[in-house]
Amino acid sequence: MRKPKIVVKNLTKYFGDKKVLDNISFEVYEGEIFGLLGHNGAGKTTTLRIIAGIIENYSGSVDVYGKIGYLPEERGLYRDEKVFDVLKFFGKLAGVEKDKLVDSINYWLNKLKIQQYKNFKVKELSKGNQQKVQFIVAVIHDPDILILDEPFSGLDVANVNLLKNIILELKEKGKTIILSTHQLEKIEKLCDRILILKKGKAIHYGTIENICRKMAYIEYLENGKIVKKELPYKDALNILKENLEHVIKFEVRYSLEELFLVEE
Amino acid sequence: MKLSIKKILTIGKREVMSNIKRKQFLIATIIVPIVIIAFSIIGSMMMFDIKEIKVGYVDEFGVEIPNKVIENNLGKNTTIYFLKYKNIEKGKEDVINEKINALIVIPKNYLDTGKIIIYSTTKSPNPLITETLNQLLIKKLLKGKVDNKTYERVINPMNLTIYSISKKGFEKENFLSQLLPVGFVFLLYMAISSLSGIIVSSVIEEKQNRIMELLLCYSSAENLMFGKILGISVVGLVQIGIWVMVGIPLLLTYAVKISLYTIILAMAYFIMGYLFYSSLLCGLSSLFSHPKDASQLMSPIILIQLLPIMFMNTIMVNPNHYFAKILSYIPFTAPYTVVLRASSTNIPITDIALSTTIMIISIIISFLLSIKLFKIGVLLYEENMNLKKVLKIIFKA
Repeated sequence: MRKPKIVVKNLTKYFGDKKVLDNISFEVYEGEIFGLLGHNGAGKTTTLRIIAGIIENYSGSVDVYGKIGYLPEERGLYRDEKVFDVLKFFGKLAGVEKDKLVDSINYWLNKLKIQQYKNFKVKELSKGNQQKVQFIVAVIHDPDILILDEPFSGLDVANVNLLKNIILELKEKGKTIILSTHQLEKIEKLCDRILILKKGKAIHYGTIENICRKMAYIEYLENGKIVKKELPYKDALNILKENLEHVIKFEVRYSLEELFLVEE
Repeated sequence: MKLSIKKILTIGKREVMSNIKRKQFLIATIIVPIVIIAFSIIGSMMMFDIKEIKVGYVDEFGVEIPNKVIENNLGKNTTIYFLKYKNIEKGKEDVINEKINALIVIPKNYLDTGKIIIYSTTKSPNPLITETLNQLLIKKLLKGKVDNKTYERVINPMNLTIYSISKKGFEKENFLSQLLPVGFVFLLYMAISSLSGIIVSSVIEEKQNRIMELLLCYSSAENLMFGKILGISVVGLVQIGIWVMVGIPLLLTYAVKISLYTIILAMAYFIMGYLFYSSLLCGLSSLFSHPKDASQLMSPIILIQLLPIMFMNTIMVNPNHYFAKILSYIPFTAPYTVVLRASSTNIPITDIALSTTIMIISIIISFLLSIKLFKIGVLLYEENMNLKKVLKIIFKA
């Protein structure tokens, strides 16, 4: 049985009077890549911030078993300081031992192909390279759990592939990764399981295959009007049986993109 | 409260290094004091660097005014030439044409009224003229009426020596040792004003650069705030240290004696004042996203400090007045007031104890409130933050 590294139970969060997360529960297992999907305002970033320990005062429980590395959606670094100094500061803050820190910084700078910018000020780097520095901040202390909020945004194709390969390598090493992204093809290729959020509620949870198979799209006539529904496969099947003569269209969904769009 | 000394030190060290490298720090710490000292020295040198002054006079009273008087100031001789005028209008014309520096008119009824008129192109004539005239008038008024010793005493009536006495004994006071607490008060005011600038720019810069989220992932809000306060306090103390180092030779030159008790009291209140203000300002500045909004709302806090400075004379002359006592119990004004009172009198130990207790409680409350504000504020990117919104957040916290 796989070991859960993140256990979220009945998580609810309000910002003022607004409920932004509504009774969400899920688990993320050791060595898996877990995707968080949803449109803007669905609650992805809030969920990740709570797991990262940045936001407090919520109801429900969030248990995290291991050291966390975090790549926030809003990228930010000390722009007037040198890349090496910034990494050294965050490495120390994250608890990397003094004798291992420089080696770790050099390893990751090489890995992300930005060793030559080590003594440059952050503001002198391109946006893409700044993002790579930000990624190093997330992994410099060799975390057990990596939280990546929109990790591919702002990167060109070559760098997206570089980062994707690094994420897969980390998975191979047994790291647990939870990421959010709008880029569905990345989710389909990278993630073992996903959670789809809509207006703070969890609407689908599991492997991509199971979620897609579970869903069906049906169009049928009811009292002279066309009804269009995206439903769990079983429910759609029941409607199909009951309204066989009136069904216009029945499809079993396999595409995450279609599923995602319908949810909007 | 999750406190980690290692993380606090790491955050504090970064804060020190980044602030010390800032141009504003170098300007405020080294260049500004140098410029102020240089200007005041040059100013006084220029004031007395006058070889001769020509003064016209119309003497209707009959003061015996010599043709010239030599005055020595800061080792430099200035000769004042007195030129007699019969006509006031002619004298005024010569002043306008810059043939003479000033025209003195001593009216006939001077003895009854004490009235003297000086015509000068400047609004304030050179003090050497008025001082010399003052001595000449005294000499005239006393001539033949008193002996030389009495004359000397009229010119210099007090060679003052003050001893402060208490149950513990007595101590000789000197002028500079009384001025020192005033210097302390200004030093603390400058330190806290400078501190507020550093805190606001540091916290808001991290918010604007969106670093806060990352910092909060690797460190608790408590560690972050304590680290910031520690680092910024060190920066502030380095700044003050440099200023004090400049002042020490001056104190040694004049052999100023300050009691150990006063030094300890001043240091204790300096630290308490610094901790109170730094924690409060750190929490409050986290609510803002723009330095302009922050400085507008924080300036009232900085201005409260001016209260003891505005009433400095009252506090020093009447240190046990109820007004001075009340200011000693308000955390915003206590650090200043207690030290000013201590420079003038022996403050009752009960007053010190009560004031210290209030300060310590206020520091604790300020830290706890600021931690709450900091947790709310660092992820709050509210545009146009105003007093109403700030108060709402404070009461909610």
